[in-house]
Amino acid sequence: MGQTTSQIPEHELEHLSIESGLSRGGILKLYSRFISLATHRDKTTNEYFLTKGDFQSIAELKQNPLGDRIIDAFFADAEVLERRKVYFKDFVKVLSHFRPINKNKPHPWNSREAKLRFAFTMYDLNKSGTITKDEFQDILEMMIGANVPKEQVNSIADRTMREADRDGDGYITFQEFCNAMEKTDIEQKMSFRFLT
Amino acid sequence: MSSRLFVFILICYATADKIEESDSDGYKLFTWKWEEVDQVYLITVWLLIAALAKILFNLMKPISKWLPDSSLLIIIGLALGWVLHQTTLIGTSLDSHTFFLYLLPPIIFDAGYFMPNRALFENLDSILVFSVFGTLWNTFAIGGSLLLMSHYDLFTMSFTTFEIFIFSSLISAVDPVAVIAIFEEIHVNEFLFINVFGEALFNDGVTVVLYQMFKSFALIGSENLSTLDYVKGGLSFFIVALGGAVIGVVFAVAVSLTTKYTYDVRILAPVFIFVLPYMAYLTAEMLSLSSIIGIAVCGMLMKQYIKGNITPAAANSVKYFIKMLAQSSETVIFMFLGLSTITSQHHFDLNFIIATLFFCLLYRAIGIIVQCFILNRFRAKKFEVVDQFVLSYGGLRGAIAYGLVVSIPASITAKPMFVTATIAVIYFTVFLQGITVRPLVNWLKVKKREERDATMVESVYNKYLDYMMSGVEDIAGKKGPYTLIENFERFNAKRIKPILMRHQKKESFDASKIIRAYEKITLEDAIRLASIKTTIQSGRLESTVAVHSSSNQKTVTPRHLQLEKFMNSGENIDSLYSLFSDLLDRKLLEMNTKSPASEVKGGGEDIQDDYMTEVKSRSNLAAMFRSAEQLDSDPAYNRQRRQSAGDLDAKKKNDFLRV
Repeated sequence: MGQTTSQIPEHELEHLSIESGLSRGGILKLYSRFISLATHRDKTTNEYFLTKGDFQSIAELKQNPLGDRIIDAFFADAEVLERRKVYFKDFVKVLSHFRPINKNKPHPWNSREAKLRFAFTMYDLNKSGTITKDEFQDILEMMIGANVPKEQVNSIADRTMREADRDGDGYITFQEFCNAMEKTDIEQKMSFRFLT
Repeated sequence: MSSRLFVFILICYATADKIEESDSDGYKLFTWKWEEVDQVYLITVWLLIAALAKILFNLMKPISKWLPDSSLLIIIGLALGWVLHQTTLIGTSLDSHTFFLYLLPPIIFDAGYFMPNRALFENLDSILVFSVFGTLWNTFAIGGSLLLMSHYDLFTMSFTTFEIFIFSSLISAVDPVAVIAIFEEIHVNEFLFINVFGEALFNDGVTVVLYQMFKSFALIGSENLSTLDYVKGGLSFFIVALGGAVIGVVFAVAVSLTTKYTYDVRILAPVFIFVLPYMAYLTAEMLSLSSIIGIAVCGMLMKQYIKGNITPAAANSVKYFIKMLAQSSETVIFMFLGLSTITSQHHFDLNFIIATLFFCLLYRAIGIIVQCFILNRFRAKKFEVVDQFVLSYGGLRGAIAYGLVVSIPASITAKPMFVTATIAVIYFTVFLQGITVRPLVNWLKVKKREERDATMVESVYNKYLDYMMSGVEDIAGKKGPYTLIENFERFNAKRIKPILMRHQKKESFDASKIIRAYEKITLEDAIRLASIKTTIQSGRLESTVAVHSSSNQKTVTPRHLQLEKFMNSGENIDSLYSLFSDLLDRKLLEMNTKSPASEVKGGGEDIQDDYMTEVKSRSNLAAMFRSAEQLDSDPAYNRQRRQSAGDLDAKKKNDFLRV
């Protein structure tokens, strides 16, 4: 599936690098990955794009219980959702969330908040901006549900919601989510060092 | 022959004095049978002294705040040794045989068993770099510098190249016992601790190889060595370190398998848990492999498998016993160090000592800085300057170095000088660095370990983040650490666990950790709420008493304040009660509906009644409160709720509570 003859035009490379904070080398590596996954090409602009099917064909992802949710996260942006195509710049934007934080050069796309927001959108299935108990339970079930009786999953979901939902309104807002995670070292956990 | 008072008589397993029996006629009502019990008696007395000393320290709060326990123990050892020396009773020094065979294994096993595996793997790269390259660099740098200095005749005793390298190899090793003793008290954050401690643990592989290598080289003599010998020396690194690890793995499997089948003789399960890792240690020693790495790896690996094979009660007892053994060993070791100072053969050479100290500190600092600089290029979590400082400062030397130095063959003339210098470095480490590390860490505002209880939220989110990151890795097309972790966990859950654990179905994803966390947290909450109830009850009583007698005012006030805090904390008593009964109902419902297949823990009576089975059988709140109150009066549980300065230190407490 490699069509390595295509190259990113220089100005676009520059633009992406500035916008995302990734180095040029990093972007080029991502581009070759993108090309190897893409099977469709836009007729008019001649750009490659990824569809849901392309994502789903990644073998290792199939075994991941959160696989579909992760794929959805790539389509989370409203525009992308509408056209159902992930262009390279969208691909870069999502992946740049996982760039390690450089204290001397902070960037809005890979800040702690951006990372947390990405994690949050994966929970928030209907994009309502809050996590309900049912959404939480669904995720939990995906992760551990196969081997655990439903009542127990229910109790665990209940318990966790109770801990996270400080104001007791039954929803977890983004702020409550951040509070729950404040002791976790998100900067390290949600970073890939190969993304420079 | 006159009889002696046995006030301070020491362990001396070959040279205990014998007392002649007096010959008189007739039947004796009372005979002096010292020889029959002498060795064991001495050992017990020694342990008792060590334990009493520890209690003493905890009582002397003002001193123990700035002086670490290890230094106090050495002082006591010194005092004892001096007394014995003066009264010319037979003194003894820390026999390296005793040390390596009996005293060291429990400590290393404790370290391995309670090692946070995840943190270890995340930092494996830095740990390996520090332990291998760091130790090598230190050895050659220190040895080389001392050798250079000796050419200028600055030292009173002379030595050959190999002899000085024997010395530098043992003096450059960071000591796990010392690191635990000192770092644990200051509760530095896990990242730093795991790096220093991991290095201390794994550098044994390198140290042992270098030490043995140079020792044989010295004995063979430099003229008789060929390049082949040097090559063999280099190869032995891998063999020693990896061999030790392999032995650890083999015995870990053995433990898991045997505990799997101990269902009908549950009491015996802990026997395997203690004996087999010890055998791993001995086997590695026998084969000249790294016994420390062996027993540490064994402890690390077997933890997750045996958890599913023994009851929670047994698991708790095992934890407690391991901690106890390790603590006692550590205490005895430090005391012996003090004692041995008096009784060793010394040769005091100030230049040599100062030079050694200086080079140790200098080269450690240089080594750390260079290694961190290189490592930081490849790591997501970088070593900040403060981290590097703590790492260099954490290069503590301890009893292992001492054990090695006294087992240098006596044919090496400079041995007494080496012994003195080693002791000096250890003292410097334990006293100076031990005392100053706490204020330094505070001044540098090093992040402390998180002292809070684990929350449900974190267990779930951590798992979730793992899956998410592994998925993103797949999309990005890289095989990163998360893919490895997920693959290993999947393999583990699917293949290894069913073999090594009871009642494990072939599952693709291991949910047991989250479930265990959930059950443990629910139980803790139940206990905590029950103890709140008793506090409030007794608080109410006491506050009414206070009205009547002002003399009680002072003692009541803290309780009173506590009571007020609860009353004002926004949750009133009723909602507490309802929350509690809610939790309990849920717990009971779940236990009653749990399918037998997923019940990994064996129900029923074990060594003692399992707390939750008591609830299940009675299933009423009153009983719950009663047993909770009993627990409440149990000092061990209470100590967990208070900031404690001694005994189960917070780290140990967290280990206890660790899933």
